[in-house]
Amino acid sequence: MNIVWRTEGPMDPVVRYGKEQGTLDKEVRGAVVRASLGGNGTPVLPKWEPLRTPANLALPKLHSAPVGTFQYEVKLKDLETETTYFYAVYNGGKRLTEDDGSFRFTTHPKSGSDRPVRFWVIGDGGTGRSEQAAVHDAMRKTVESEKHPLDFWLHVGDMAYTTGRDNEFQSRFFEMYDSTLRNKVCWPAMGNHEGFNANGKTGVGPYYDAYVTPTRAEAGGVASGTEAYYSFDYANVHFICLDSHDLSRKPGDPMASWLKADLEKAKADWLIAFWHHPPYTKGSHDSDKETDLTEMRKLIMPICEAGGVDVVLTGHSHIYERSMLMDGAYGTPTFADNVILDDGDGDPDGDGAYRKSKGIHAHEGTVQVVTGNAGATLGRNGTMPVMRRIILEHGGVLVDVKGDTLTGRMINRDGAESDLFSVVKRGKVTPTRLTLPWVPAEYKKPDIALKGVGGPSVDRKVLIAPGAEWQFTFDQPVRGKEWTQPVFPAEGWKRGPAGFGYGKLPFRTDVREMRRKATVLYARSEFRIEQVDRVTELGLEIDFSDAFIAYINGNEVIRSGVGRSSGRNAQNIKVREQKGPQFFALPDALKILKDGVNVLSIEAHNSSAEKVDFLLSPTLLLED
Amino acid sequence: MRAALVTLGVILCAVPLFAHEGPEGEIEELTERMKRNGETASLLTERAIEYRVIGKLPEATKDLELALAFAPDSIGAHRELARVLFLGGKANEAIAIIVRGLAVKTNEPSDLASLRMLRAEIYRSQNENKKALEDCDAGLRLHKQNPEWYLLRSDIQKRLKAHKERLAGLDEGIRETGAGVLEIERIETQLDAGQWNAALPLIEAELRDSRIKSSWLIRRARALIGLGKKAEAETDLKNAFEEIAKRLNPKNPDVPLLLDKALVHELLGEKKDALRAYEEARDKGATDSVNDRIKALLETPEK
Ligand SMILES: [Fe+2]
Repeated sequence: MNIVWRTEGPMDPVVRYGKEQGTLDKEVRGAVVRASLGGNGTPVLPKWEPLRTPANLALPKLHSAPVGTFQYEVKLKDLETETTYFYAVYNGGKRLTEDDGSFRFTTHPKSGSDRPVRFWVIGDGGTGRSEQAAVHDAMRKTVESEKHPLDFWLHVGDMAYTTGRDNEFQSRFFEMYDSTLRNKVCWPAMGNHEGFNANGKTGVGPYYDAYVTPTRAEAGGVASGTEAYYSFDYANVHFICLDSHDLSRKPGDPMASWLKADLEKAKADWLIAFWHHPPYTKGSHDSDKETDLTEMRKLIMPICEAGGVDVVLTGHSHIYERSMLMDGAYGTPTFADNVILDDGDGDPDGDGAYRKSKGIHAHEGTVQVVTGNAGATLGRNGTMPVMRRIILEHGGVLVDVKGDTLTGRMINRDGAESDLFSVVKRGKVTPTRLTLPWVPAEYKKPDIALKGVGGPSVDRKVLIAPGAEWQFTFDQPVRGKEWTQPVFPAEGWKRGPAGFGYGKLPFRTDVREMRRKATVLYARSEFRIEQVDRVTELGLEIDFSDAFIAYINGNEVIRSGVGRSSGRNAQNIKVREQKGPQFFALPDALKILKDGVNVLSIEAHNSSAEKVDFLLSPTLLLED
Repeated sequence: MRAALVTLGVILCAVPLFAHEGPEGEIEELTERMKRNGETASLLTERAIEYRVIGKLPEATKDLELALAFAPDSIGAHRELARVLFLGGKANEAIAIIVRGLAVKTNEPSDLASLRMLRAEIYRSQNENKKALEDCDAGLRLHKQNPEWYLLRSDIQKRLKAHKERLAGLDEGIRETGAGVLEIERIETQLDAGQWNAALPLIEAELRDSRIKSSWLIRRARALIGLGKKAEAETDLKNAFEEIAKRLNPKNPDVPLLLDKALVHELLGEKKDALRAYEEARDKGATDSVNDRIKALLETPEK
């Protein structure tokens, strides 16, 4: 078992562990394995200069972590099988991790043992948005209510949008899954988004910084010699992970040769393969048209099915698609005829579980599960004819293997079970190919105008949330445009959550003192942007009465209802008749954004000091 | 909270937005982004990768050339451009780009190694095996952790019939990476070098440990043929053939199995059947080395 963590600045790495939470009686010293200490022109703060020693500079570099980051690793050896251990990370004698029982792990059961296995599979989650959190929560609630925890989980890639940089891993992966990561092993497959900054051939990049995967068959299987693809055993299941993104998929090339060798040796009762690019999909990607996907189907699936793989788990396409029991569909485009072995729904209470012979046999059928629905915006292009379930919902898949039965359930973001299928391997089954199997209904793509209703398929982020805290004033003297600049003392200004208002309109901060005294309220709020060059759209969603002018970093970006000039000189304030929030795109704002802290400033005008209502309630949104 | 999100969804469709559905959508979005904010090396490289995925190599080339103009020190952009040129059949232009890339100063030796290895692949495709070997050796000195590169070098050494160096190189790879494919390649090398007695016990051990045995039965047959034990070899080959026949998908056979089937035929002296299986494997996407097998087979007289 490897325990990996990071600190700002160096430490004295020690891990203590033991079988009881209160008795961590074993101790292992860790080692620093990587560091980020600048170089290549990155500016280094004076406080890190003393750390730029030859020894530290000789450490492998963290790809894009902040300067001063040190990564530590501890390998715990000689552990008992199928045993829970509690652990704590210490800086010398000082404990860093909390003593709440959440820092623990359970070792693998013996290979081949017949114990039940439960794991969670997700893909394309790394957006940092509420959908991602909801999918995670739904899983946690399900396993909690069933009193049956996970043994581990699989991530089929795209865990750190948009380009798999270190900061994206931090905020969109580690922080999002923190509670599960500290006590359940995550077995990863690299997605194309991680691939922008990680290289499968060299094993360099934030993705490879983040994970320790087996290269020398430490967890079973044939040694791959690389972290890009690997296999492992868990009880009676053998798992195979491939890098579908940036390695050759050709038979005869290393990854396919390794796959063949690994399958030749695999003796588990179940074979499960996972990677990022789905061989069959018509979700947000089309496996009939894209080479990455076509090649996984044409070149890799034949090896898998001749090796007896039972289930293939993938993502990339932002949808949930689950196939019938199928075999031999390697052509382009994909048709269902003669490749479906059982066209039922696989539900034990419906058409019945899919049946295969006991043991591992070539070409008795595979179930394909595309689960790229853990957070990114969903999308569908058409109907993949081999699919039995096509569901546009956020969620993940809980898989249970109990002896001769494997069950998969898609748990959606609300915790509901949206799909259920089972495969039973018992006795001898002779597969038959159906000439005219069941096919899903054709899908008519909605018109463009309707397409946006579910939200656009781009990453959307709230930069300033509806109830965010702002600095504001209506009674301090405000002159000129100084107050809109990034640096402004705002002395005597108040703080409070938006919206600001009085009367019948929905506000949070009551500013009724303003009535009859002032018509203008000035407000400022900071927001952060990590990668300005990726922002495609900035938008202001604002409910207001009656008029406003908005500024970003001192530049006016939009106004509504203010005729001329600004501040106390503003002229021609129009009464706003419309009710509710209105959206304003801010195309001109893109040029004035900068990496790091930015400031949005808004002056809100009432048409008259006598009016009984006033409101300013802004939200700032970003597309990247 | 939910109500707020619904509002956002509806409101947002009022402004033009670019759904990224698949590579085409991604390209559209990147194009739009660059129109607004200007072109950057990283965005151009991203778009080029999408172009490559859908096979639009000229567009990918154009983007990468521009990306290099913006970021002349990006080794990644050099590598991508060279790869796209090579894929498009422009091997010499690809080599010229690699030469430029190798001149870039970097702290990351694996970057330079990846350029070297790409050039080795290109040289190999031009049958310039000595030059290819030089690049492999240099690349593997810079970065030792990629089993794929040891295999590439082994393949080039095989073409040069440098079996001794090939074995030594694979030993190094096994030490450095532990990769199972290198162990297999090592046994293949022993067979190519005629070291039948050295290979045999290793093959026996693998056979005992394997669920699927045909590949190892074929390797044992090769060793037995080398040792003059024709009858025993034939039994192995027939058993291998039987297992292969059971596993072959009747409609869509997979390439590694077809290659094994072809080899069984070849070793049994069934030239026509061997050719047919090799050709089928080639048509289904086997690596170029299958062409060498076909050529060699066509040159041998019928038994
Ligand atoms: Fe993806």
